[in-house]
Amino acid sequence: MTASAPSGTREAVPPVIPATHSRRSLTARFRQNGHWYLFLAPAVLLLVAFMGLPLYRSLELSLFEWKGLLPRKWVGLENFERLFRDRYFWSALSHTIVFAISATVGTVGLGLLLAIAISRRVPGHGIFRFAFYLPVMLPMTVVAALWARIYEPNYGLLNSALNAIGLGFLAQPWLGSLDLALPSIIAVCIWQYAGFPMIVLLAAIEGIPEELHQAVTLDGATEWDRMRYLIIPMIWPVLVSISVIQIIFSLKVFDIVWVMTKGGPAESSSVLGTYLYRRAFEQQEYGYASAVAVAMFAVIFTVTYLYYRLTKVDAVEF
Amino acid sequence: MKVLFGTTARLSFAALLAAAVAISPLAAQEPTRLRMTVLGGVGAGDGTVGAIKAWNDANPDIQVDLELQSDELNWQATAPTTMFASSDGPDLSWWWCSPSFQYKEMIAAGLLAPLDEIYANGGYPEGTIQYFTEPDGHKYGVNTDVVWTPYVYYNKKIFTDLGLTPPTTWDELYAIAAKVREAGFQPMVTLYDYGMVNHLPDGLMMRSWTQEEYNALLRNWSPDSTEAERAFKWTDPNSVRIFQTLKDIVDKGLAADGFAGIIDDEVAKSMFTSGKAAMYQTGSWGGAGMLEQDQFEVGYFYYPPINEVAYGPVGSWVPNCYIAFNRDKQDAAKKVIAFLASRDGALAYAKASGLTIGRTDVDAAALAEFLKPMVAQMGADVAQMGAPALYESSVPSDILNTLKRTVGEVLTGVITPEQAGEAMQAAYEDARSR
Repeated sequence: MTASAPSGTREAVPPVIPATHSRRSLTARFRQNGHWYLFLAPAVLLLVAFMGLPLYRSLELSLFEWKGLLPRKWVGLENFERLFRDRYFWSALSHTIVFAISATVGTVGLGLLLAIAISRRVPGHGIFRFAFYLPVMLPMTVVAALWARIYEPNYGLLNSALNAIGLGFLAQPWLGSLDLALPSIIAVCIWQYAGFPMIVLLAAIEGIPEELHQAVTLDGATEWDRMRYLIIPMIWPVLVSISVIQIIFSLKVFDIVWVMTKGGPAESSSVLGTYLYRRAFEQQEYGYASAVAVAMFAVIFTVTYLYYRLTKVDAVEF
Repeated sequence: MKVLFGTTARLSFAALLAAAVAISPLAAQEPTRLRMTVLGGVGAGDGTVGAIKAWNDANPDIQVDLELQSDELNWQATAPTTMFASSDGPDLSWWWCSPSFQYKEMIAAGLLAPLDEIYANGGYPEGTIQYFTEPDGHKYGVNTDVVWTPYVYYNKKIFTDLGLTPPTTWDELYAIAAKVREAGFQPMVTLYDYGMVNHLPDGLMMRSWTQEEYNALLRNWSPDSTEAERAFKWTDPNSVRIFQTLKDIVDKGLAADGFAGIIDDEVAKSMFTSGKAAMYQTGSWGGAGMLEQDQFEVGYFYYPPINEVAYGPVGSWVPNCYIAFNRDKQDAAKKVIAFLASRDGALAYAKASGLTIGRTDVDAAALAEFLKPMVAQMGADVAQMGAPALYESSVPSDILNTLKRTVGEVLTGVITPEQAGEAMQAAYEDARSR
């Protein structure tokens, strides 16, 4: 068993482009690999049309002041200057980062624990697997609207339940509190999405050869040792991938926040997505909103790139 | 053969001629079809649907196809730049004729057709006419209905049981809140996003600013404002008092618990209609709906003190309007709007919506046939006291959103009333410099 395979592992599959490719003409290379480019073409076209062009237009629009109907006014980098001076932008950015970190740690962490528990075949594991995955299948806006009712302070289910069991002192205005609004939303996000990493990680755990489990058992390892020295190292690449996906997903968060609090109260749960939306569609500041979008893209790109670099792993060899 | 061919040709020609004659009247009767957008599921939408039905029934030559849009911000926020600006957009629409909904930009972009002739027949109060007269002298919108906000609706049973009467001072209102809380009810519930941070300040402005301050501070964010108007500031005591009152409403327990988390009006309304809250704040548009529940009798009062000195010529909160787009069929669209704005059209609107109308020349007896007594009384109040254009319908969206954010921060204790005044003043100065 090895958790970190030698770099030569991937060389089992011959590279598509031979080592001598640099000496060949572009035409010859294209002729040799043309069919692969053909396969890639539809995806590349869609990427250019729906990612590249909008990205370019956003970048362009961020240099203008524009309300949508009258001619645009060139303002250069003024929108970005305003952005850096805008305390609501920084507040939305910090909430986004808090949301991304908390939601990622929460969903992946909880998903991992659930996956390990279910993989150990606890009684009723099939039901648990289904039950924990169920919320993932619900539309986020439905979940958000449902939880907004549950959190409602006066007759919501949560406070009513706390009162009913004698824990009324814990009842809170969950979404109406500056301190609790964002954590309450994060909790819902974790509740809904922990099932996704659970399923993915469960598949990875169940892919670990049984002989390795037997070897660990013969070595007299505890369940904690099994998790620490066998399971986590073996599923590490999957764990990193799912974390990156969750981080990207969380940095783009909009719908759950919009439905539950609209970024309030007093911007205490505002994230970049809701901030951008308000600027673009409530205030018709399309240029400024584009600057927010560019900043949001830069943040997501940087965080994702750093995460990949810092957690770079090679394939696991069994 | 030649004779046969000639006869056939003549018969064919005669048949074609007869067909053409037969078809031509049909072609002449083909109606002009107009596309009109309107918000569905709200009183104004219901009223427009009813009035358009009356038009379509009486005017087979011009038929209006209604496109009901959902009453949510996504469509309203983007319609001017997408659907309305499109070459195949609608011919007319129900709309919010206010700066926040790009009414001014649509005029400047030449999207709207002038509707001056509709006002030539009179029937609209001076305040409405002033509101709709643009700097170019034209009018591009026609008011549909009179609304005023905020109203506090109250549960008469709770008030009677607790020996309470509608307040005439703020201290009385706070005392009512305390008694209601003691009895186990929530005092006043309202939608946070539009009720607490938007229409509540609307009401407080009219109660804290003088008429002169009101007229100046709804305008002096503009680079075109005069030095005299700019002498009035958000940092003045009467302005800061608006924020102080908001703070008091929370600190003295008038606002319901968790008020800042109530972002769905159905939740707010259901707390009131289910008897959990004694008071519910919204606008006059909520009046008809309030009466549909039969658990208890509903009354209403204004925040104290209600100032019976009008802030301007008697008018209405006018942004609810009809607009015609500057397209090929604008003449037909203007005919439809002329009907909607007429006495018959307004009555059809009132009948279908249960709302008070924008015209003031329709006698109360005619309206009483369609409006519930409480709603009719609200209309009479407005006619007596006047209803100036509200802040929301007078300032651009960035200023409005700054106010909403600032009010939210005062209500939740993030900033002081003085800091709120400074933030608003800074926003005004920023707007003037751009």
